[in-house]
Amino acid sequence: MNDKIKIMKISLYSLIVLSLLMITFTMYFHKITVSIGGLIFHIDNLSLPFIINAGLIGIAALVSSYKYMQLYEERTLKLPYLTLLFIFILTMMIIPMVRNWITFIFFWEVMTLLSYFLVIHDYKDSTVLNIGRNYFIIMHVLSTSALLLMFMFIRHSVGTYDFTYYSKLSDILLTLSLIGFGTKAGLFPLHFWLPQTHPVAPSPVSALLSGSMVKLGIYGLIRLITLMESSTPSWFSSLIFALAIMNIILAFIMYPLQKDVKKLFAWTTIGNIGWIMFMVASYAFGLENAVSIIGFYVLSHGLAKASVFILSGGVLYVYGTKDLNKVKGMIHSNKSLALLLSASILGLEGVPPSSLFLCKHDVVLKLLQVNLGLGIAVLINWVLDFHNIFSNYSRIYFC
Amino acid sequence: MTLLSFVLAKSVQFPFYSWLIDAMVAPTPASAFLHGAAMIEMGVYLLGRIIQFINTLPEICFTILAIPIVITCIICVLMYPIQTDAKKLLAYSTVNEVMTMYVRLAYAIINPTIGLKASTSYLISHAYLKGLGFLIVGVFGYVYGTHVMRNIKGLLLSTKLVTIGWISAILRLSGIPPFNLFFGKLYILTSVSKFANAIHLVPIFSMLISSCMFFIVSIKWLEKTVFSNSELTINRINIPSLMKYTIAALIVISLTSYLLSYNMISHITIYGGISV
Repeated sequence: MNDKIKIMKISLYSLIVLSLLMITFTMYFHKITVSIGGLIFHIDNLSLPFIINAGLIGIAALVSSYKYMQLYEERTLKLPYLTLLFIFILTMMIIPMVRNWITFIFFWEVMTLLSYFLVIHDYKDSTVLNIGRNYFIIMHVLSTSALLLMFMFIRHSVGTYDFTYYSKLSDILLTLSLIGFGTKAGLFPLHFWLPQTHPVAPSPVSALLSGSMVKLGIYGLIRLITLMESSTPSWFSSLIFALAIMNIILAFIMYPLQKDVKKLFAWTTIGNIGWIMFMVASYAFGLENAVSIIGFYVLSHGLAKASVFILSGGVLYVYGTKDLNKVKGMIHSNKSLALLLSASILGLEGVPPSSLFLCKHDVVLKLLQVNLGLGIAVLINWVLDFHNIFSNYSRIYFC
Repeated sequence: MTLLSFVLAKSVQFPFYSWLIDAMVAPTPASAFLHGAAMIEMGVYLLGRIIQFINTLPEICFTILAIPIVITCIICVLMYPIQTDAKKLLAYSTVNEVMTMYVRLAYAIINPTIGLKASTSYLISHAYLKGLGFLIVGVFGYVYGTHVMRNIKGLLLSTKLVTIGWISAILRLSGIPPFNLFFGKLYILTSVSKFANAIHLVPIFSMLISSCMFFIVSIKWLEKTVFSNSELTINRINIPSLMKYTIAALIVISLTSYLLSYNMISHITIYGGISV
């Protein structure tokens, strides 16, 4: 009986998300602007990949929650998981549609609140509570406060909260935006919440956090840059370049040290955010078609990352552990899981048939235009990353 | 100046805040009313009326008002973490919230049109919210026999309605969105329209800092009260249905009151421009 209600809930929620995706496509292709009670929703080239990303990962997370949540069944947890997950997905799909900073920050905060409740789903464990609290406090104090101040300054200089073109934004404002959006996106000095939060959250939730919530930080940043009429000051793009390089280096160092499956994938998120930030920086630098590369990268990385996280939930479900050293001989004991996991890891690392290969290829080409040394360094990093991750994983397949 | 000190005493700003904390021995419905509606807000109302009618006040008033605001903020930030009694925590948050209303009024001195409206809308939202918070604490007292938050555990297991009420009350006080105080906080950001010098930014920073601090503390207590294992099994004490209905109604009102108050405050007239 309980299972039936669960299945009905999941199918209802997925249907709603799916229909919202349909509405998104209609709005995009027919260039419809919807206005509900004075709030304007509009979808353009920039916001489309983020919405599709959130919707697809959301459906995947909802469906995979059905079996995965049996892991928590004997703990008699009382948080309404599915409903919270559903509203979380909805807010993430709405954020790229809005055309007003106030609505933006409203949904942004609802999203953060719900993600907090989802992260602490296993609230009877005190470490989970601690990590969830740290996460929420970091988000609220750094991200939200910085964004509120930034919107206040924007309102002060332009006179409206709506998205309009800004002739000039001051340095303080750009710094605030970098703090506010960078915290969400996991940019270098503020990336530390990612590897803490992902292991404790349920796997479908970490798929959503890493696959689409983190990307919304990038969305906010790039939206702000597109709204600027004149080009950004040069320190802004070089600062993002520097932070992105730090992201990549740090992730590269941390890969071999990880024992937890989900922590490893959290670090790959940090590395990939570095890649996307390269494109954001080169867009701020003045390269025009960087936006389409960002959209493509976000979509393909989001899907690969979500599949990897949901499959690491599968590892937890099958073997009862997330420790990479304890899972052994997967190719003998569980062939389908091994096949799926290796396929999605190859996809995540940009091995040719996957779409992430094309994205990384484009990023490298763009970077070669900006700076030759940087492009070559990133290319080398790509290969070494692949080696690092796969050597970590070959143990659990073949031993 | 005398007027200012009178107003500040009534609504518990810095030099005169201690009576409110001591008054917490009153029964909870009484303190709910005291905080939510009647007493404290009267000071805000008085100052608001003054600003509404008196011709443009000199800018020095802003500075005079800013000093107690900042000191109140510091006191609140220092006092939040050491509170264990739910009622006292709420009392300090009242001090803080009234401080935020004064931030609005301070900006109203500079720009009466928006600051006054922001203050009034915040006042209305805060009233429902604080009423809710104190009623919940009253239920704590009724069910658990204590207001000390350390002794209240495993709330999520006992009653759904009280849990939702408590979570929403405490999160809302720290300005988390789906609830109305968030809009109030946004509105004040809108009301800041003039940075002639750095001192104009001081109140808004103190507001942000103190709300962040309250947020951190409230999250801590939320974990300890709601998401903790209760060692002693609570024999489900029935909460009287009248209390339940009141709480449910207040939750709904506090979710929607912004829409109601928005219509009301858009009719406020500013007489400041007319020479009296």
